[in-house]
Amino acid sequence: MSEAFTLAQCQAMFRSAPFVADLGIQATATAFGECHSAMVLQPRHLQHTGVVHAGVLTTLADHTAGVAAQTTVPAGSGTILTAELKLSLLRAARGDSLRCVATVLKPGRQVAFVEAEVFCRDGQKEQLVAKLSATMAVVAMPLPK
Amino acid sequence: MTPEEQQRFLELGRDVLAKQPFSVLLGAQLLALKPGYCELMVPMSEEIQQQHGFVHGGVISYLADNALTFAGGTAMRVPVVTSEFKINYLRPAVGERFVARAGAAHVARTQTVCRCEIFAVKDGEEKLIAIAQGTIAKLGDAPPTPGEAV
Repeated sequence: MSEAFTLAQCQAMFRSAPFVADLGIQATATAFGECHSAMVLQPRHLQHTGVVHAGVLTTLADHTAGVAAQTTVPAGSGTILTAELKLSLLRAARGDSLRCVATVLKPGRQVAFVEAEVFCRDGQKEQLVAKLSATMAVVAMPLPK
Repeated sequence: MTPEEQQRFLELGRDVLAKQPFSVLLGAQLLALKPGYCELMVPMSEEIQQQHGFVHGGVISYLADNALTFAGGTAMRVPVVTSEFKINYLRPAVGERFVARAGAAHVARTQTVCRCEIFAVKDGEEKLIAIAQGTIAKLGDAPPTPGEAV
């Protein structure tokens, strides 16, 4: 088993992706095979109907799932790229913030299988709005500094 | 459709796109739109990259999702939402712009299954970088009764 990723390392993996940083997505917690993230919703994240665009939900779920997979890869032995993903949009996301929890179901030397759930908070109410399952490829490529 | 009707159809689609703040943020442009078919483009910019300098998978998923939805919505001619989609990333997204072409594969009363291919354009050459498929559902419709074809 690899040394556990620190939260600071996870946060750096969110900051180093310009699109993710621009959307305001941040890592909030991590463990081996797990990553939590959150973002505050702004008008630019929305659809013309006022609900969060599925592209935002996908980016949040995909990146958090990727970082969760990265925590299972021994340091220096590979970096994660998404091979494929499937997203089910369960209900319209309308509210103040999003939260994502990603869990690795099966780590591996070549691929990792990951699931993620996206929750939308509107005031006191939080609801599951999207569910992702993805296959992450472990590729030989140095991690960004 | 006459060429004038086609142009009006495309303009209507562009109006919808302009009202999606997230599409505006990404600089998305509608290149073609007809019933059951859509071509959507996002130009390369620094803001949409991931940590290796490729365009983030989330942006490619955005293209797939929005193109699938336009294809499904124009096929059924009703307000729609994406119910689910699946995407395979084939190559890193490197290029000057990224074009999604989506078409309705099966149109039904309450939902349409659409397929989409996403290409990276570099030096005038197109490379297939991702393939997606999704279910586009009619908005605000009562669930079908059991046994009824959707």
